[in-house]
Amino acid sequence: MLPDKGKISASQLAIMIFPTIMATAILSVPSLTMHYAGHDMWLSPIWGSVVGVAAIGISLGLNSLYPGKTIIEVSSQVLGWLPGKLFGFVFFFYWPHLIGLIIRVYGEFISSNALPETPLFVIMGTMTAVCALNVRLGIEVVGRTSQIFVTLLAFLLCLIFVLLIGELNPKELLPFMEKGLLPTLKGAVSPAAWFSEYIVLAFLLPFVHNRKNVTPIMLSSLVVTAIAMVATNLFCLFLLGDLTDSFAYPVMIAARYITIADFLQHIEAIVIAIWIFGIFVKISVFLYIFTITAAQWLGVKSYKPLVFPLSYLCMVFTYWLVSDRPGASSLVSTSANVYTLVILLVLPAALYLIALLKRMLGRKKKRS
Amino acid sequence: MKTKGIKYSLAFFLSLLCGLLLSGCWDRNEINDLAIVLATGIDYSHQKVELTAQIFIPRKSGSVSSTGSSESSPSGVTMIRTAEGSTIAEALNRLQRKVSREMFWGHCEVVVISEQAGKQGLREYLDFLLRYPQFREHAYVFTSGGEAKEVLALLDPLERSSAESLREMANLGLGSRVTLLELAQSIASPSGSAILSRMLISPADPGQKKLATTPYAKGISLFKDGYYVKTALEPVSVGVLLLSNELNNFIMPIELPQVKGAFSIRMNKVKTKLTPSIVNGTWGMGVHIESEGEVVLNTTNYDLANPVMLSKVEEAWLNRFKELAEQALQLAQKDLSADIYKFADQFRRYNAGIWKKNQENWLTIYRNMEVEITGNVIITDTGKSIEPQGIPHQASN
Repeated sequence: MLPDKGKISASQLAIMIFPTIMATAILSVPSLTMHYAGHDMWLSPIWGSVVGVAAIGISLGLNSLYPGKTIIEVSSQVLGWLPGKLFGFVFFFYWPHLIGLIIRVYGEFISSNALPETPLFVIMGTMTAVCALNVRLGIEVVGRTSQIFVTLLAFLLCLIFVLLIGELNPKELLPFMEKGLLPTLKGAVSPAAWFSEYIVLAFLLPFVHNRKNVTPIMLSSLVVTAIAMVATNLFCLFLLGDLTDSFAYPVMIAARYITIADFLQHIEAIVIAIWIFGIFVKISVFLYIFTITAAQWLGVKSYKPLVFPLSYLCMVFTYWLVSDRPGASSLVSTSANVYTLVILLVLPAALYLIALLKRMLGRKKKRS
Repeated sequence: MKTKGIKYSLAFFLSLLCGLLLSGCWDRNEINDLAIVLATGIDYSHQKVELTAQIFIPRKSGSVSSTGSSESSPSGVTMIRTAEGSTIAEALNRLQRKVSREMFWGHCEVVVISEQAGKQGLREYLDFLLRYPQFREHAYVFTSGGEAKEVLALLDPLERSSAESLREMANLGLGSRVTLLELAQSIASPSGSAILSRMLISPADPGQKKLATTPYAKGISLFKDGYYVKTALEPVSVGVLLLSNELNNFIMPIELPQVKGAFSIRMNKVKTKLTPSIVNGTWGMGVHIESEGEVVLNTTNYDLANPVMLSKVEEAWLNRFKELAEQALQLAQKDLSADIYKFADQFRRYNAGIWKKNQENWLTIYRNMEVEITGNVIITDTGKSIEPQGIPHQASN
């Protein structure tokens, strides 16, 4: 039984996913991929999107085997009570990790680029409070807010790109494959980790009311996200060249670099303001999933009483996870990406495999 | 009973909200608490880095417009402060102690580095300018022949500040237009070299205050591996700009053999294309110059309506370009062995594998590289006049 009665449409879900991936990817992916793949880092998100396909496949597969059930319920049915609860516990334990990190990355970014004097707690706390309110109002509100905000976010991405066209230098593409294909695959680990966040579908698909076109909608959402990530990488490369990985936030440098006709400059504040909409959707989506996970894992009928305590827990995690900005950036680096991949991709994949095997064995038994 | 409880808790909550509003003024930073820095200068003397800030004086700028230019210097809305330190960060720290307001570097659009400071290497300055949060990556970078602080101290009669005049000059394309980010990229690239416009101070008009004058671009400062090595002056600097694809807004006299007088051509478009080639292990570079221009002065007696004459001028013009390019190449390859024109980047893009193998002995390859200069120049316009003007007794013939 779902702890929330709300319903969203498949396209709303697709729209929610876009900032869920891009809001933080836009900050970290260009320099992370550049670090391994050099010039050819724009290829890495393309390889990485394979993981997105896998995550979508697992989510849709589980959903068709057990319609109307989130992955947490499915795990108890597939694995049995105790192993199922253990499986759920991994996620129950992992979400505050991830959400804490997202909030922390948000806080560090804002404090270093926009509000250097404001205490980190205020920056992160206000955002968490707003997101918690959003989540408490239900999945329908989360879906609606993301519909509005994602439009702005997409506009922002296009805006930076258009305003920078004059400064771009496409020659930076060459030499193509300077060190061969392998580095681009290594570089694909971090975009892959971001794409593995598509597993949120396994939690949110039960809330979708029209299941007809879910597969094509989700795949086109993946294509859009992958294109956005490639485009971000490309324009960082064209603008900053080999220096991309020497900056903490290359996209921010790009936004600061905009100078048109002597007056259209210093617009980074607007860029940050619009970006906040994106991170708001991202935190809301994960916070929602966290509370849903917790409610189902604990067997609570409504998730609503859990929202504020769990949000507070996430806030605490932002301090438990790391103590400074280098720490925060090391937590989004490659080793951490592998951690993300294990939980968001390998575990659900294993569950799906077991579910498939069980289904096949069950059929055989019936036949015999 | 229950509604009363809700009311009380609501009142309590509202009073808490008021507390939130109070914090609004807690770390306010108003515009008159800030010293807005328009330009930064970096000097080096007596083993110390000197950091200079050109600070905007807000009060004065208002009074100038209302009272008119009763004062001898019409501008005078900036001041400079200088501090020295063993590192640039230390200098920054000391600089703040000399200014009563908090320094704000977010509007610093110009960085001037003296050649003396450039000799110590740009690395320290670049790291600072790209790390300290407020500096803009789009700031234009110049060098100064003399001290950078003297350039910043100028009060340009035409512009709001000398920083503004430097920025406008960069936008006009006088000399090379290099932003902080481009400079860092240039130094970090395989060639490791950079060129910057060099600024000098034109003497003040007689009767004017000493500072009421303008900086002007003269020559190009050349940097090798991040260190200042040499200044190229005209005519070599023209060749340097030509090969760096930065030649703009230039008028060049062209002389024909056995012809008295000269044609002056204003170039509307100059494009230089580098084509690397590696044939049988021999590295070569093709330089192709494309240019369009118009005649603005004709002191010869020849008529430019004559196509034969026109093509002769074009040929002479191209030869002049080749000459300039060769001089500039001689300077870079033989005299300095500095890869100023970024040949290394070209070869890396051309064939990354071979480039990587030969990266070690790149300088030897570079010094002995054959460079072939070709070009295509067109005179698109000969101005308002067809025949030469101002020749005595012209009409009677």
